[in-house]
Amino acid sequence: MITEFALAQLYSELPERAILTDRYQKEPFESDAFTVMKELPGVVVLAETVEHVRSTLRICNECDIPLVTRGAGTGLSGGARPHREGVLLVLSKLNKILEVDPQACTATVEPGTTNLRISEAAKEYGLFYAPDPSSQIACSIGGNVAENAGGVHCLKYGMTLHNVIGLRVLTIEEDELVLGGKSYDAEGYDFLALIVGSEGMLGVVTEITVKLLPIPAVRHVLLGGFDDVEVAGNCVAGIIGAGVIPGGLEMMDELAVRAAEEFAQVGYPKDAKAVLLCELDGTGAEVASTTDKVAEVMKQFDASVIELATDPEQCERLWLGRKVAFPAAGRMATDFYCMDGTIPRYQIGPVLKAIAAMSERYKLGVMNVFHAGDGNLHPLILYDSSDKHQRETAEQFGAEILEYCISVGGTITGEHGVGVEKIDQMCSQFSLAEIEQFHRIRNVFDVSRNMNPGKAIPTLARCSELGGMHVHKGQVPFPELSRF
Amino acid sequence: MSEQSSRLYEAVNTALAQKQSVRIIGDGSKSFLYVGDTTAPLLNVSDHKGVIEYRPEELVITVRAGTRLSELKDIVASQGQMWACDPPQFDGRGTVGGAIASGLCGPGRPWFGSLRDSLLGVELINGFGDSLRFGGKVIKNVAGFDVSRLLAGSQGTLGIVLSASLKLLPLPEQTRSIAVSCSSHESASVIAQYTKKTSTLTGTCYFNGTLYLRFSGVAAAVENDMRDFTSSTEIDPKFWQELRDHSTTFFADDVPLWRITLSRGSWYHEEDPDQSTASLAEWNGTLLWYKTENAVRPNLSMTPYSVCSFRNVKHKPVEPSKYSLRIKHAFDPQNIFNPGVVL
Repeated sequence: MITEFALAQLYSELPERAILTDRYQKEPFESDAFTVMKELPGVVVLAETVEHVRSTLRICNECDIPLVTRGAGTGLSGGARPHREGVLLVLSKLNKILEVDPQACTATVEPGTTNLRISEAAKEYGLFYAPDPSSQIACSIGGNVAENAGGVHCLKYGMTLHNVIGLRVLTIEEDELVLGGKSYDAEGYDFLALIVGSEGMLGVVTEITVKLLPIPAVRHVLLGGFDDVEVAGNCVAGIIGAGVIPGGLEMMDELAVRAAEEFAQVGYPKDAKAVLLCELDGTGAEVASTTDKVAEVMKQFDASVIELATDPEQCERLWLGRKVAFPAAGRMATDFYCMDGTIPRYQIGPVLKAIAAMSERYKLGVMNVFHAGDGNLHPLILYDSSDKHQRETAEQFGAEILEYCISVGGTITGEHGVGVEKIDQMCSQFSLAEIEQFHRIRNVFDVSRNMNPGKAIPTLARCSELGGMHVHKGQVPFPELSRF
Repeated sequence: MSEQSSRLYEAVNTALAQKQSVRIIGDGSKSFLYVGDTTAPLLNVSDHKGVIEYRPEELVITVRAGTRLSELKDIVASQGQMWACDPPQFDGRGTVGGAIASGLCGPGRPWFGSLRDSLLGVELINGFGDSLRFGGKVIKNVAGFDVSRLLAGSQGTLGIVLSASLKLLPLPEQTRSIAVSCSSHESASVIAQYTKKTSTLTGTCYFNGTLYLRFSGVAAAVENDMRDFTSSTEIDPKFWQELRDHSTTFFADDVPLWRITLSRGSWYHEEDPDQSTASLAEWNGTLLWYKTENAVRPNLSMTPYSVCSFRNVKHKPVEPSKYSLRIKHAFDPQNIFNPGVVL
């Protein structure tokens, strides 16, 4: 709880403008993009310097106050949901790009820097930062680190973990950990791997060094239309089996294709049961060769339509349908739940069939748009939140999908994180001994257990809240962002 | 649980009950790197081997940790794939578990990523005698703390790895390797050009006036890159394997050998010409193998990221941080695994 004493401490060490205590000032921070569960934070601290972060940590530790760290608040699993009796530490003002080193091909930035700004700053050197979550124009790199964010290009370029090479982290005990750096390996335990994806429970990241890659010279997009969802799923395995690692490999089912087409008229084959979008990038010689290979595989799997885009404008048009899929889903039903399970690729066909069967059983529509190359599903369950029965049914439907993902050797979350959203499914994916080991790791860095309490790692007793990205009457949280 | 898993599980529980420590050993190919207490009895884990699941179209293989690296290589190569971090096989030996414990990678590290990057999941026995699984068999997985990757390079101090799921890559369609005579400064500028463009470069080594380069990938793209090197000599691609395994002549003597890492984008220039055979640089010039006659820690004109004694010399390890001690305690409070090893 935030006592008068604690508040006085904050005021003595931080400027008054950095501390928000009035209800109307705090309301914009009551949730991240997982808007189902809102909570007004006890107090909001808008840190302007690393010293402000340090002071906040010390005061929270000394006064035993829960501390939730937040960046841009675009997270989809409630990882930055505030604590009613805690401090919400907002890092979006720590947004300086400290260095772009074209020699080392690295950038060092503060955590509030938005993902896209890194690539924009690197562009003049012919470089870019590869991970591109769909919210990249708004999401902050600190949040990306906390959630180990993914995106469309993970299959070839990896997740956030594979692209972050150095971190500075402040623990609740105010120790500064300098992890990794510009070399290819570091001594000691790989704490960097532990901090990335730890959902703000182990420390506050104050500086991030990422690797930059040369911008590919050429980019092609191939669209394949299929008469059968399962065959399209098998074609994904076929492409990988042919030795090609595409830059992106996305799949949309019949409903998603129809919704996207009605929304944006991009020229997708409307009667197809599934559409694959395959992006190939690299040098001219490389892309020419891989494009031929992928087109050949699509033919072998009886693609009814194959369309190749070679100039940036055409590529953008083919991608547009995929990018508008989420807002388009918002026109199919008043609300939808977005799930995030990952499965082995060879299970795509069977899992889609199982989801279709569940859809009939629960009498709720479902639309599938997902990162097929990674086996990362995003089923959108369509329902009406004003109908209590539908709301409950949608939650059960979502839970069953996640449980099914675990049963075929997959995981409950591929890129959105556990947060508060999937905390009870953690109990299905991990044994009690495994959960206990997670708690021991948490204690290594946060003995106080005040860092983002109630998130990501369930207490053994925990099993409650369910949910997903909640969309009411087509109003996607952050509607200006494309979601894919 | 297989018979071999049960044996290891029992061994850990016996050690716990008797308050005894064990030294985990696989093939023993990297025993020279062990700096812990040598009086603890050995627990051999190399029998715990074999493929658990391999689906080539998934680009993932799950193997028991005692599986030899050479066998793994043959199995995945028969399906046109590779474990791209390419860990060393000193004296032709080495197991998957040993590779994970050491975290060492081959010459392709800057382009293919680290061993840790390719580790998707593990099954381990911790120091509480619990059998645990973390991560999985899929590429994208953010549920729970990433314990699998913490184990990479942890030198067997946190538990016994029973099995691991590894991300594979397709074998390149074509590989060509060349040697170019040039100075250290010329080498640095050749490599600087390549780090800034998409290319098929996947290996560099500079030693004694010669720059060795490896290009691999789609055949047409490799040929395209090779056009820049008309006056070079084609070499046997085995060179990279020998370099990885330290079986080239540079590594043949008993002189103290140090492993030094430098910042990306930097290049070490030997200032003393008499010393030009004392260093060899891999990984775009950022991994330096350095020999010193007098076993003294090398003193370089530039600031390295790390300097580790590797062969024929042992220097005192750094004091572990409070967090290192705590993480060890979180996995192995009775200190039964590889006692005396500190990270």
